[in-house]
Amino acid sequence: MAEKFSVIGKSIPAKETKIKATGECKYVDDLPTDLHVKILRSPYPHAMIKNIDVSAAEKLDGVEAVITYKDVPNRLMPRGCARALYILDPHLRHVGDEVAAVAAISESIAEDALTLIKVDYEVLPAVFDPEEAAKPDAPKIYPEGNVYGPQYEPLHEKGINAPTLLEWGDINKGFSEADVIVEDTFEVGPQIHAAVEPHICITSWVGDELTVWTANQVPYEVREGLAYVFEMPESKVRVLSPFIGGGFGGKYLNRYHAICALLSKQSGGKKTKIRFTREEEQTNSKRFLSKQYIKIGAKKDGTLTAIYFKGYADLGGYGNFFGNSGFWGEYPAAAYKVNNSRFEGWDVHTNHFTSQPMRSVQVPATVFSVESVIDQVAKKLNMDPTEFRLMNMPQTGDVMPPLPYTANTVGYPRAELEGYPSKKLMKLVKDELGWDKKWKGWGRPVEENGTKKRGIGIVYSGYEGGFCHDGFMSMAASMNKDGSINIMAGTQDLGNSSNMTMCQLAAEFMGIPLEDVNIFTGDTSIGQYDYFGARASRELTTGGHLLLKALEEIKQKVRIIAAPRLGVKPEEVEIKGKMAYVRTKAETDALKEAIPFAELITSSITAGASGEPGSVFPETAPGKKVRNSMVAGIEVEVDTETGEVKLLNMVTANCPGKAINPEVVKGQYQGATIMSLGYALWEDFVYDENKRAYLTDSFTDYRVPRAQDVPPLKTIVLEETPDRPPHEGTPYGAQGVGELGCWSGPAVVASAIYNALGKRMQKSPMTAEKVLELIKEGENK
Amino acid sequence: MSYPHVITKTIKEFKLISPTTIEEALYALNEYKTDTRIIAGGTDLVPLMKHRAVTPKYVVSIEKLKELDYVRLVGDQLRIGALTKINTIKNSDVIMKNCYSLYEASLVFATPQIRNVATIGGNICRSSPSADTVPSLLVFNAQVKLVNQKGERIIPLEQFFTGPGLNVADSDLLTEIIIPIEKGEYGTAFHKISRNTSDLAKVNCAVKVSISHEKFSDVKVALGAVSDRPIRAKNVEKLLIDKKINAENIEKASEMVINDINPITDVRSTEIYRKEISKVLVKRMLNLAVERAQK
Ligand SMILES: Cc1cc2nc3c(=O)[nH]c(=O)nc-3n(C[C@H](O)[C@H](O)[C@H](O)COP(=O)(O)OP(=O)(O)OC[C@H]3O[C@@H](n4cnc5c(N)ncnc54)[C@H](O)[C@@H]3O)c2cc1C
Repeated sequence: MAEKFSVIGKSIPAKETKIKATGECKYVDDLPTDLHVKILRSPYPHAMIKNIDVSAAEKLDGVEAVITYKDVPNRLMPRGCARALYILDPHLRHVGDEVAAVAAISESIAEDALTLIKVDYEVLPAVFDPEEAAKPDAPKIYPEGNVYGPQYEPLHEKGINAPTLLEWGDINKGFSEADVIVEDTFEVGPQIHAAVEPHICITSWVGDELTVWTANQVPYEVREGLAYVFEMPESKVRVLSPFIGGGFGGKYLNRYHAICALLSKQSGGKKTKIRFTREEEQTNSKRFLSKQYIKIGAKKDGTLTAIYFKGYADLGGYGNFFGNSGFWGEYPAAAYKVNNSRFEGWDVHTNHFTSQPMRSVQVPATVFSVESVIDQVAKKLNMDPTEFRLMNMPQTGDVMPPLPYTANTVGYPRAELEGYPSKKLMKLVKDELGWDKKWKGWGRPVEENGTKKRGIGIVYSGYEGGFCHDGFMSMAASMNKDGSINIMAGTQDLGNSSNMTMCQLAAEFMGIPLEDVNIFTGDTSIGQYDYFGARASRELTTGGHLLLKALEEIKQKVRIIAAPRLGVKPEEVEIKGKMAYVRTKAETDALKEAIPFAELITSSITAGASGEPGSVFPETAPGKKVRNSMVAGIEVEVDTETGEVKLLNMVTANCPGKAINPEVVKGQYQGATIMSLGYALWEDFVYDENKRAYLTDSFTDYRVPRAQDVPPLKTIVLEETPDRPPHEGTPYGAQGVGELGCWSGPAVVASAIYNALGKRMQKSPMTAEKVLELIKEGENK
Repeated sequence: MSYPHVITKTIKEFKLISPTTIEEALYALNEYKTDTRIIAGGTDLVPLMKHRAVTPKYVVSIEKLKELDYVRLVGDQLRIGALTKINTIKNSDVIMKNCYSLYEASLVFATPQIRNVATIGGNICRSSPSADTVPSLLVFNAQVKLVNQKGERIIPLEQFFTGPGLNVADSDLLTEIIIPIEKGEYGTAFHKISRNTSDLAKVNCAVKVSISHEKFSDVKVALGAVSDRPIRAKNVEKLLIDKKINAENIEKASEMVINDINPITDVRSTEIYRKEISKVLVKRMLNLAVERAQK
C-alpha cells in the first residue's frame, strides 16, 4: 500500500507508561482491602479429603470466615475453553490443589489459621507422565478417564476421552512415495509463565452485587464463571481488571476468584483479597509438558510427501484453555507444503498443576520436534537446511490444503496465504547470520577452539497468530459531537500496549489526532464482551477489526446525514478530520466545501460491532488466510567438557503484516524470543516425588534468563500487507505479534548444538547436564 | 525450599535489637542465646524467616556496628571486617592485589542489588556449601575471629564449618576474617559454574599455586557445592606438591578430586554432573593459576 499514514506505523508510548515507571499506577495490590485470604493446599498429588475440621481455625482471633468444599455450591463452574470445576472439591488432583480457605484481618493470621485446620486424606495413586496417564489402567483423575479431546462449546463439563485425529491426503501413500523417511521422539518440560505480578484479586459481595478487581487476561470469562456458579445474572457481576503485571497466557486461573467471593459473602460483604505468593504462582500455572513422535517422508529431489505427528500434552489436574491438540495439530499442515498428513493429539490430565498456554498453545514444542526432523531429512538428502526449507515452505499466494472440519476442531477451507513472506524472511536471516560463509555441512562446527565448538542453526515456523473468533467478541465506539472518539473495548490490555494500538487505529481511520481518542477497557460494566480475551495474539486482529467495523458504521451514519447537504450520494462522501466532504472531487476543491461535524451532528453517534454468532476465521477476504511466519538463526558455542551452551549471536525475522506501533511489535518479538531461550536452556522444572514438592517454586531455583544471558539479538521486522480497505480483514493488514517470537527457541538452539557436535538433543530444556550426557554417550543422528 | 502444605510468606513476630556497640551486641547474644539470630545484610536470613524455616524471637541487627566494615592491611595480614559488603570487596584494590580469587568470586556473586547489602560475614555464617567467597578464603588459609562475652578466639576457616548451614559459632559474633599475605611466585583463580547468570553455584572452585624452580611448591584447591560444606581437595593437592608443572600432572591430579568430593543431586544439578565438572574445573583453575603465577 503506497498510502501515507499519519498515526499508525509510529512508535508512540502507551498512555500509562509514565505512571507505571513512577509507581503512581494502581495495580490490584495497591487497592484497599478489609480481609486477607490464604489457601490451604494439598500436600498430595492425588487424594480424597476424608475428614476436614476447621473449628480451631475459625476460633482464632482475627479470622472472619473459613470455607471448605462443604460450603461451595453444588454446581460446576464453567471456565471458558476448559473443563468446568467445583469451587472446592474433596477430590484433590495435584500438590497445591485448594483444600480450604481462610479470610482474616491479616495475612499472617490467615496463615496461622491454616496450620490449625485438620485434614484426613485418603492418598490415591498419582500419574505425572501424559503418555502413561492416557493408558486405560492409569489412576483415574476423572471418573470417565484422563484424556480430554478439545471442544469449543463454552459450558462443557466432561472430556471426550479420545485423542484428536486430523487427517488429510493419504498418509500411507505419502510414506510409500518417500525415498527418505525419518522418525524421532522429543520431550519438552513445562515452562512457568513467571509474570512479575502474581495472581491476585479483591472481591466484594454486597447484597446481590458482586464486584471483582483482578489482574486477568479474560475478565468476561471470570464474570461468566462467577455468575453461573453463584446463579446470578451477569449484569450483577462486575469484573475490573485495570492493569496487569504480565500474563503470557498464565493470567486466567479463575477458581480463586470464586473462593475469594464466597469468603466476602460469608464475612458479610467485606472486601477480601487473595494474593498468590511467588511459590504459589510458580506451582499453579505452567505451560504443557509434552512428548512428540514425528515421522516425515521426502522424495530424493527434496519434495515432502508425508508428515505424521503424535503428541501427548499434560493438562495437569484441571488444565485451562484446551483444544490444545486441535490447534497443535494444524502445525504440520500449516508450516509445510505437504499433501499427506496425519495428526494424533492427546490432551491428558495428570497430577501436575494446571497447564495453560504460554504465548501460544504447544507451538514451540511442535516447532522443536518438526524442525528437528526436517533437519534430519535434509541431512539424509544431503541438502543445506535453508535450501530444503526454501523448497518446501509455503509463501504468500500459495494455496494451502483445507484443514478438515472434524468433531472437535473447527478447521478452515482451502485458502490462499496472505502476509506470509517466509522465503524473504529466510533470506534476511541467512544474510544477517552470514550463513553461506559459515555453514560447513551437517554436524560440522563452524569453528573449534580447544574444548569449545561453535555451531549455527536456522529454523522456520509458521502458524496461526491472531486468529479471529469475531463472533465471540464485541467492540463499540462513540463519536462525540466534537468528533473525538471513545472506544468501549471488549479487548484487554495485558501490559502490551494494546490500548494504545487500538487508539492509533481509530485516529488513523477517522483522520483525527491521536489525542482525540480515548479507550475504556478492563471493566465488564463497559458492556462489551470477549470470550477468548487477551489470548492467541488476537486482540489487535479481532478487536481492531471489530473496532474499525464499528467506526465504519459511524462514518456511514455521518455520510447519510451529510449526503443531502453536499448534494451527493452517501457513498460519495468522505469522512476525515471531523469533516464530511465529497470524495469524487479533487481534494483541494472538496475541502473548500467540507462541512465540519459541528454543523452536522447534534448528538454523539454510537456503533458496536461483533461477528456473526459463532463466527471464526473471517480475518481476510474470502478464500484468503493470514498466518504468522518467522525465521530464526543462532550461533552457539558448546563447551564439550562442561556441556554449557553459550549463545553468541541471534537473528530473527518476523512478519507482522502491518506494524501499527513498530516499537511495540519489536518489543513483543524480542521479549518472546528471550522467553523461548530461557525455555530452551535454563527453565527446568523439577518435581520431587519423594518430597511431593515442586523444587522450582522460586526465582532462585527456576531460572528465567537474566539480561546478561541474552545474546546480541537482531530482530528484523518485515511488513507485508494485502491491498484492501483497512476495515476488511485484519486492520490495515496487521497480524498478531505476541506469540510467534517464542516459537523457535528450543528448535534453533537444538539445531545449532547439532551442528556444533554432530549429536542431536531430543529433550528441552537443554541443560548443561543433558548436553554433557549427550556428548558422552549420545549416538550420532 | 518448599512447603506445599502451608505456603507462608509472612514473618513470625520477633523483637529487633539494634546494638550500637559490639559489647551491647555480645550482651544481647548472651542474654537470649538460642532464641536469637544475628542479622547482617539479611539476604539469607529474611527468606528463611519468611518461610518460617527459622523463627527467632529476637533478631540482633549488627548493621550499626560500622567498625566491622573494613578491608585493611595489617603487617603481613589482610583483614576484612565481617560487615564488609560483597560490593566493597568487588571494588577494593587491596583485595584485587592480595586475594585475586576472592575478587573474582565477588564479580559473579549474585546481582548488584544483593552485592550492595550482602556481607562476607553473612556468607560465611550462613555456611551454605555453595558460598562463593569461601573457596578463595580456604585456599588462602584464612582464619576467622569469633567473639563472645567471655572472650575471643581465632580459628582456621576450614574448622569453622560443621555441615550444611552449620558451624562452630554458637552465640559468637564473627568479627573478622584474617588472610595471611602471600609472597613469592604464586597465582590464584576462581570460577563458578551455574545454571545462568547470577545463580548459586552448581560447583565453584578456587585454586592457589606457588611455584619454585618449575615445580609446584604449594598447591591449595577448594570447592563448594560438592559436599556438606565447602572443602579442600587434599588428594589433588598432595599429588601435585613438589611435582613438575606440566599438563599431564595437572590432568592426573584433577581426576583425584573425585576422592575429595561427595556431591548430591538437587534442584541445581546432578551428582554425576558435579563429579564430571569438578574434575574439569580443578584442571582449568590449576592451569589458570599456573599461568598467572608465571606472569
Ligand atoms: C537473590 C540472591 C542471590 C544470591 N546469590 C548468591 C551468590 O551468588 N553466591 C553466594 O554465595 N550467595 C548468594 N546469596 C546468598 C547470600 O546473599 C549470601 O550468603 C550473603 O553473603 C549473606 O550475607 P548477609 O549479610 O545478607 O547475611 P544474613 O542473611 O544477614 O545472615 C546470614 C546468616 O549468617 C548469620 N550472621 C550474619 N553475620 C554474622 C556475624 N557477623 N556473626 C555471626 N553470624 C552472622 C545470620 O544469623 C544468618 O544466620 C544470594 C542470595 C539472594 C537472596
